[in-house]
Amino acid sequence: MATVTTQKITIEPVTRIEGHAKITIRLNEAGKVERAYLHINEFRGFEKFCEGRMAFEMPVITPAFAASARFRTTWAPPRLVMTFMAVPRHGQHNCYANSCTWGRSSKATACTSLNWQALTSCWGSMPIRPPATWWA
Amino acid sequence: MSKPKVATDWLAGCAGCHMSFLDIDERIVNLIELVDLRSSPITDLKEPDPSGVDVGILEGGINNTANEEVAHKMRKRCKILVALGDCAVFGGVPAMRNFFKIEDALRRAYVETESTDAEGKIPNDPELAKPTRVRAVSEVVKVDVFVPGLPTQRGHHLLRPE
Repeated sequence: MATVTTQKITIEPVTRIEGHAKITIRLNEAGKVERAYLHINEFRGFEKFCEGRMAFEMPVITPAFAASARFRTTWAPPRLVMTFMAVPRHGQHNCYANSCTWGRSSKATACTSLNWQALTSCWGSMPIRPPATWWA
Repeated sequence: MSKPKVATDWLAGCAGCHMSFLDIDERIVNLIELVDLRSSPITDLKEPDPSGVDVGILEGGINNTANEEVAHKMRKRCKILVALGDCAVFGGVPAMRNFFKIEDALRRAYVETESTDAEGKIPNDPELAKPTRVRAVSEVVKVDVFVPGLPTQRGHHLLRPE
């Protein structure tokens, strides 16, 4: 809905978005458009309050950014964390999880786990690898 | 008896609770037979009816002065106010900002981030709402029904007595 005062037109809210935005158009005395602004009335500070958190908390925190992000931000942080924690990709030969006996056959060091959900048993309940390792 | 009117809005949330509300899939057809969904961020109407609605649903917490105004307006125009989701019930994930100063958070986001060039500055237009401490909706207005969840489980929306 738009409201018009003498020198300013406000369009609020902006629809078809997730979040809050409004548009103000400032007019000069002649009634011509002088400035137009898009105001995003939403600031939550994820960049700051994620500092100091544990890396494995990121898949829980970052999906709260926006509902549409809930899937893609649930997979990207774990893959990043996996790289730092040296979690094995399928067939990798240098898995650091020495206590893992899942999928290992006869003391071979290659992780032969075929079922990605099986990995949840070695790293807790957080699913950390999608079925297809297209980015591994 | 006419159908009860429901209005929803979202504040400092991620819209996940609205998405999980939509996740009731085909049951929304049955719901609409029972209930008159008026304004919401996902329908055409944007403000709760001035004549009042029966149930107002708020998702997301209060993190700036604009959210406070929306919460007050919704409280004034509805009989039963529902706080939907962890953010509305007790602050949720955005409440983690309360551990830091607002100025630090603004500076980190607008000035110091690696993807910002040297001209980064914190927006300070008078049109913008002032960020405040992140609060639950119940700290600002009286809430009648609390529905926690992160996000609320689909189907819980149907259990609530309308």
